Amino acid sequence: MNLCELNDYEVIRQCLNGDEDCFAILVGRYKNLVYSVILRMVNDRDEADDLAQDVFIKVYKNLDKYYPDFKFSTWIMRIATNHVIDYRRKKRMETVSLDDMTHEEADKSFKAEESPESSLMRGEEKALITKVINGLPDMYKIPIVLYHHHGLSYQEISEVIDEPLSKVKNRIFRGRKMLRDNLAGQI
Amino acid sequence: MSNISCAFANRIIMKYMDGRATEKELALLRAHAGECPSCGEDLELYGRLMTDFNQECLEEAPDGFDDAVMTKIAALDITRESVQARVESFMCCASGVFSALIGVGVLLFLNKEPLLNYLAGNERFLNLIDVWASVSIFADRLSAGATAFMSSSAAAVAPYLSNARPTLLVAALALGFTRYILYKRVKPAKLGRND
Ligand SMILES: [Zn+2]
Repeated sequence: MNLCELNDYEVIRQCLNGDEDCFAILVGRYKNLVYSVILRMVNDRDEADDLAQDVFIKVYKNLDKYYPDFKFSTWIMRIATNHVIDYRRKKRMETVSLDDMTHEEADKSFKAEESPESSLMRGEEKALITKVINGLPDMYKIPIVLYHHHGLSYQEISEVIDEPLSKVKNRIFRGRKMLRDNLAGQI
Repeated sequence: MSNISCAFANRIIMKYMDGRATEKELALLRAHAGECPSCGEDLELYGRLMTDFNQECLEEAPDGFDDAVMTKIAALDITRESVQARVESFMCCASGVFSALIGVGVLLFLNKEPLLNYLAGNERFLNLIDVWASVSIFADRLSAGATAFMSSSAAAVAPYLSNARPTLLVAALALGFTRYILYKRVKPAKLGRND
């Protein structure tokens, strides 16, 4: 039996039956998603790394509480977003300096096969938009990031943040308006 | 001037951001945005956001992420109780409580005479009986049949039981002890890797 071909729930069953090495399969499948979403939220690579590791440990500890009523990715996103919100609450840190991220993003864009000027402009634009998104409060940022960056449906987001569909739609709608206004305010 | 309102143009923009706007709607929007500076600005700003949203956003987790997680997990000591173990522990508790109730019942029954004598000499208890007398008349009638049956069968067993008091006590203790041992032996599956 090839373990990599098992679906998430089958892998979880294996883990719960004592084969904890199977958990590495789940880590492999979801580490980039979890890391990306957290990075969007905290905007610091080291912090995102630590937080994402914490999330997987939380997932591991609570694995027996997972029920396949909703997708494993939804469940793990729920744990990830709640964990970051709790962490933020503890740290009392609402906005962060974005400088590290923006330089990094700009550096990354230089590697693309474009003229340095256009890639610099693209890097700057990306950095600007990242900054604007990061300026959103979590209650808007999380639905926006999950919907627009990670392609989750309204329904899935409603399961992740445990709020009714109407609230999710409203927050995404208002979040977009806020992004638009903040972007317009940037020079 | 195009024939759509700004409000309608705005709805098309939101549909566009949901990926649901039709070509026809987008054409109307562009035409309107060309003539309306406010909607033109909206389209430009939302368009820039959409360009960003459409880019690959999945960041790679740092190298060694998997190993770091698995090492931390290996250091955990997690015991998971299986559903079966949970059912068993519930059954153990339930039967424990049941045994205890039976034991208390037997003890009360065996010592009923001294107990009743004591209660008969207790004024408070007698007052209580007065208060409850009217209630108990009804209850008495209700339970008369059952009581008659129970006391007759209990009376039949009583001589044997009163001779076997110490034996019963030992048996009850042994039963409790056995249950405890059995409960302890049903160890939940251990999932930590540190053994
Ligand atoms: Zn307009």
